[in-house]
Amino acid sequence: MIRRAHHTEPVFAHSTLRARILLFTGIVLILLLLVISQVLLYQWRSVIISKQEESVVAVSKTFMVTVLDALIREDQSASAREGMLQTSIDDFMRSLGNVKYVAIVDDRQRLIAAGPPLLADAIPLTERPRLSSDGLALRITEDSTFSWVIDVHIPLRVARKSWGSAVFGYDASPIRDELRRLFFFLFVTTVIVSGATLIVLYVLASRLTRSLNRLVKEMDNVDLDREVRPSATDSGDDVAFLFQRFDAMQRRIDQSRIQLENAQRQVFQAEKLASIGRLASGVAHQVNNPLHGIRACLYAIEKEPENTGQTREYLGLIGEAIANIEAVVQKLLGFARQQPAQGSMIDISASARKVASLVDVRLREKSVRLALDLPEGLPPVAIDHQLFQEVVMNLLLNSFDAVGQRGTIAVTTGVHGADAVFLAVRDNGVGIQPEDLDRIFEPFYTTKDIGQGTGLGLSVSQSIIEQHGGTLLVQSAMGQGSTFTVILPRGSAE
Amino acid sequence: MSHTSKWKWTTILTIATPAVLALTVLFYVIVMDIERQTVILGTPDPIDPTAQFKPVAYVGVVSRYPPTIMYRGYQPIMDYLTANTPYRFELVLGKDYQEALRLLLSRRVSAVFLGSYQYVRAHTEHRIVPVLKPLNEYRQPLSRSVLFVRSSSSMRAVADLAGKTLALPSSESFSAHWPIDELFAQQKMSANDLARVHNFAHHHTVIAQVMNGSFEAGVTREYLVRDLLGKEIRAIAFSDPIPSSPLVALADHHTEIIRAMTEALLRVNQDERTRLELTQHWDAEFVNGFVTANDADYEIIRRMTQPARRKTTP
Repeated sequence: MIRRAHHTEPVFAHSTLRARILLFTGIVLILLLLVISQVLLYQWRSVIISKQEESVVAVSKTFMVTVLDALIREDQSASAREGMLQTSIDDFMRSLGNVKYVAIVDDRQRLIAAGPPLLADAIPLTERPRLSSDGLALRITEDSTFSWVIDVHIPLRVARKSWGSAVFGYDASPIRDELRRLFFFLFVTTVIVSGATLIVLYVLASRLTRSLNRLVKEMDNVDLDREVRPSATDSGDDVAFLFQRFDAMQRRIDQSRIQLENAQRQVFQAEKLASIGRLASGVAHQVNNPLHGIRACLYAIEKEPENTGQTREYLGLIGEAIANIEAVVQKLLGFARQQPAQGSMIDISASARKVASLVDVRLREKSVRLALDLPEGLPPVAIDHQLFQEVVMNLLLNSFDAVGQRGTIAVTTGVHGADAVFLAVRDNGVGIQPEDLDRIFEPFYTTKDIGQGTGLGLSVSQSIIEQHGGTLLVQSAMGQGSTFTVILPRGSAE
Repeated sequence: MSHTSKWKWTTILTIATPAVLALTVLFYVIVMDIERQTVILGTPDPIDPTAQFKPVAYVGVVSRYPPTIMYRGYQPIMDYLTANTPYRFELVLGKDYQEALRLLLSRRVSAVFLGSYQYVRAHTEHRIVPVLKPLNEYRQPLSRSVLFVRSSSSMRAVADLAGKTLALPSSESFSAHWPIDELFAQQKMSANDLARVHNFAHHHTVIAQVMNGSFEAGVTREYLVRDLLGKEIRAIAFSDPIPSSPLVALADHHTEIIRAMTEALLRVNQDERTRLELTQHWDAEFVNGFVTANDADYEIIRRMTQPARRKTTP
């Protein structure tokens, strides 16, 4: 019997899988969104700043013409020296509104005109002493007086004629305001998109793990002894396909199981017949002796057919001999029966006693002493009695092969712990080589001469015991003998 | 959820949440820091440091455009002269013909760029002589005036001007006299046949007035509208070629400066490749170089500009 697995843990840690999907996909997604939003932000930022720079440069260049005109006119006419430039600056600042300062300096960096006049000293002119001879220069900076400004420096030149330079300070806070709005827009968008995507992921992952969880439960419910199939899901997705493949796999397992059971039965029967073969000499002796007796009786009856008293006596002896032969044959038939009964509760002491009686004749060949300690009243064990007898037979015959003339074999049964019983077969034979101890339960492994053993006895015995929830143990010491112990749970059959 | 996954969740969230918040704050700080280093967006021509030590020579010009426009066209010529003579040339703008002439007569300037008509008028009253005259794109020291309308205008001939408005440049220019004194006379018209004739101070104002639809026709120098002809505007009539506007000087004053100027400017068109590179920023009137001029060249103008009756508004 093959038992299904029993789980005490959750059948499927679906929440872990869902968590992993959410976690890793979520992290990747959020990072991706962050990267995308930042790239967008920086691109946008560059565009905003460039646009603003182009705007202030264009405005500055336009006003520069007015400044140049004023400077040229003042150059050409001394009477127009004062006022014209300052008026232009005042008008310029008033009309635009975002101009924080304007300063016109000559080639020696002397201030010619400025707006607002009261803040002329604060206008940062000395930081760029070389710029008057350079081209149009621009920078964005945070100034202690004017806060964030776009500082534009334009040389007042036509060809190689220079009148100095103009410095414009434009309010840069609109750039920062726009960037701030843009940042929070992208931030909120990223949060919303991330949240929505995580919710979608959660739903999808939950559906996936629910299907997987169902599949795992169905797998756990599979009883290989019963042909109960999991009901396939009709979701039409990969999980349904997995269900189909699992069902196909289970069918293959069923077929394999049937083939295995057939093979096991054949192996058990073969080993059983092999055991009978090993018993053959003893059995022949057990049959021959009565037959010799019968022949002698028949001979005496033929000699004196009129001796009715003798004839009656000898016929009685013949009947006893035939009864003995029938008993032996009956034992053999019972042992060699191919279809074992299943699920019966047996008394291992009684079963061992029967096997001992079967091998007793064989043991006497080598004057082996068989010591039995088989107490009655042991708890019954759920095992097929024929299979158990086969195990005991194998162990006894192995011990018989191991002991020499006048050796001793002891068979003992008893209670093992609270829930098991044991049967031990101990001999004082040659023992088993330590290097062989790990291999004696392998199929077809034998240390006997060719033709003396199949190498399946212990393997089959271990298989039978383990299939019934028991254990087959071995202890051995070279020159001192070996002890094979069968431990079986009591009343454990289902 | 298993204990292990709970632990992982807690740990990862404990690490990830502050990390994301820190990244957000970091990004915010970086984004809001818009400080940029100084960026030089253009490099003008270098100033010759030796020029300031040269004696200054002044050249006058009638300011037909705003001062900056005038300087853009004429200052490169001054720079060329400064670089190729022993003098540092400075431009002096005269707001009109009379002021430009006064600058010359008062000897504040050594030479002055005058219009052809202005020169003819001045020559009759003062001892001034033409020194150089510019070449046109055909390498001839000639120029023309053009009567033009917007391309969308229905006017096709001079006679169509009857009842229309006409924008003219300064009355001290040939372009202001040619339509009245010659063109209309040929068509047996007079200024009185037009709805309105107005003289503007500068040529570019005339062009702008026609382009924006304030006036239906205008007259200006051909080279000023060459790029617009056939596109935004259409020519109705061209004047006969006249000697181009001369650079004039007093007959007996600043002779060394005049000689240096003449030699330098005559070298402009000696080499074609050099001329193109040299004059790319010069006023369009002078980009083809110069030839020497004399008073006889301008006799044709004296014949063409006979007095005629006109109806103009100041």
